[in-house]
Amino acid sequence: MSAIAAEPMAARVSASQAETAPVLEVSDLRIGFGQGPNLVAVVRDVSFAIMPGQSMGLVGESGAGKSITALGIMRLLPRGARQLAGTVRLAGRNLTAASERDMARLRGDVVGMIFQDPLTSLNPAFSVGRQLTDAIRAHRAVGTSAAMGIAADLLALVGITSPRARLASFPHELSGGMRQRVAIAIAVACEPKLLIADEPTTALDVTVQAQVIELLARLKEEINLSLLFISHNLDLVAEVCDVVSVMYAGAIVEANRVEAIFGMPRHPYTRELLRCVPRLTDGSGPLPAIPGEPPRMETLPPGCAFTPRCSQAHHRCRLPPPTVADADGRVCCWLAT
Amino acid sequence: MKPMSAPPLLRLRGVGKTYTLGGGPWARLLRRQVALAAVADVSLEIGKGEVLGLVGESGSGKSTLGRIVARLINASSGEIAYQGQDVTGLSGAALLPYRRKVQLVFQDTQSSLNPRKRVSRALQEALAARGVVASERAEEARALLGMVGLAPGVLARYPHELSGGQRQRVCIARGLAMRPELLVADEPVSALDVSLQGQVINLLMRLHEDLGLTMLFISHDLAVVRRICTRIAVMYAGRIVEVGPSDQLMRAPAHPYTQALIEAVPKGLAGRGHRHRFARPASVAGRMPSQGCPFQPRCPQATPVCAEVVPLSVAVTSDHYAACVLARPASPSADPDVIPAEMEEILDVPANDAAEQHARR
Repeated sequence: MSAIAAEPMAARVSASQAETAPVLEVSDLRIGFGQGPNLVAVVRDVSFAIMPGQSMGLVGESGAGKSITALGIMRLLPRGARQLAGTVRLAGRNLTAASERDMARLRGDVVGMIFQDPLTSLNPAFSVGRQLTDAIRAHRAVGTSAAMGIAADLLALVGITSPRARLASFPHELSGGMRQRVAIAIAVACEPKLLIADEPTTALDVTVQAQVIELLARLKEEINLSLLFISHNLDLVAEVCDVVSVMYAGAIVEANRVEAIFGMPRHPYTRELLRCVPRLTDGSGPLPAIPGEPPRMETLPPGCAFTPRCSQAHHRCRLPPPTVADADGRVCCWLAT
Repeated sequence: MKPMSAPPLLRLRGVGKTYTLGGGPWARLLRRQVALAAVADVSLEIGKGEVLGLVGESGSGKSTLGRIVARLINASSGEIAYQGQDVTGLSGAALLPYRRKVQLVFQDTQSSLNPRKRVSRALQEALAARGVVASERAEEARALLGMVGLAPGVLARYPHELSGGQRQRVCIARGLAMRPELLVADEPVSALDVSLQGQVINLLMRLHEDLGLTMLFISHDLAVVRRICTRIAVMYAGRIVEVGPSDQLMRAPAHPYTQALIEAVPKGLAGRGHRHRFARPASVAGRMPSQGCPFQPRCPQATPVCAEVVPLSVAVTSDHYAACVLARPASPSADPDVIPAEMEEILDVPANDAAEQHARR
């Protein structure tokens, strides 16, 4: 798949949005671990674009490279990982070339990020108010009391009752759903253009998950927030996102409008994955599963990485599959030709 | 209620587990200790060959109940009967036969396998515990792996060399080594990718059918539970608030909490733009009430009486019960006078019928 120069989707996301520039534009991003002969690329030539107010879902199995892609965009890659190629443009700025100081300002100002476990993204030693005002004052020239006022407004925005009283609370005093709301409040404190949410509801109960999802939908409308929503839960992505990119073995194998991905999936992996989702409306009986195991990135097969698990694999799948693009989306499969 | 021919495989009667919070010396001195009921007054039975689903949010007491069933922790109150025999007070050597019959599978396979032991050793130790002679263990271990669909090559591997799905299969194989009658599966597929969940679920179903294995399947995922369980019990705040046949409970949930749970499950494209009208989250509702229905602060249909009394279990149909003041018998033919049934009424669920139905399918 590496041989394919997938052009950015920006120009063909939708005709009405084509005039405006994307908030985030990722082109041919390649991220690897290790050095020399031990180098393993875990994100392989990923390209996508997110328009203002648009939410994009990034789905795939664990180990597909979703989180590393997000961390690569934020330039927060873990030790040992590095960007090998590609560019990331955030609100027109090339992040690959930005200095560390510029990056620190852009994180929070233009892009916020929330993670799966809100307890680890909040500092247990400081009150919610302190953490919120720190975030606000790092980016805006306001005094402590003014910042406290903004912090209380933010807590109200994310649906926390009696926000002024809650400013004095510490993270351990809050429930999981409340902590995630606080994390979201901090992430949107400086009115970023883009919020990257990495499995934001995976650790939460379904009833709380529904609340957090509603909050994200509301923020999208109220502050025109763009969203990069990373999740393994396909039904959730279908509810939240406008466009979806499906990742397998570090590469995007299919990208399209949400209705097309869920209504008319074209890549065998997408189709199989959707079949595996258990639904309340189903009866009982065996649950479909994709045979085999997710691939090891060190030993990817030649050509299409999905070949060993694909029911429609063909001998030509040993060659890199072509990317077939149309007005809305693209798919990376020989069957689409 | 029709009389039952045989006692159920497992019967819980009024089972509770209370933890004391604030165990430090100062808390004790100042009498600041608080009793927390992780499980309260649970009466439930599992018929032989049945797959009973136990659902609820985190903290509802599902796992605690599963561990009580496996006798990993002791109940503070109530009674556990296995095939009519009281096993509540058993300990030491007397408990071992029961321990063998009831096996557990956990969500976190990484921590339930010793990282320094190869798969062969993990399985052979279990076989040794059952009393299999040393010369036969290797052969049996291979057979066990075959039962869970793993190649013999896995025997020589360490847990970290296996994928999550493979590790869960090894855990199941280790449980099977004891030739259990009841398998308590606590979120067995929650840590697995959706593409692999089916592999483990289908394996469990095959074992259920081939070996007649009875299962208590604990999960937060309603869709998975619906798929494989004959009956479902819904837990909230340590209590069973609703229990009934899977199809009926999902189609016509009688308890507002069950309704909220079903409502909150993402519905895919159909759920786009849909506004949820469900229960307030626990964080907004505040503390658990000290009296009345535990769900009342979050309940969109709460009435004044809900703050006063803990609702008793009501028979919606002959095998579908809900502990809510709003629950009513589903059809007028049901006797309306039997409404204030006690929790014990759940004991009369003809679980064997449900198991038969499942077997027929």
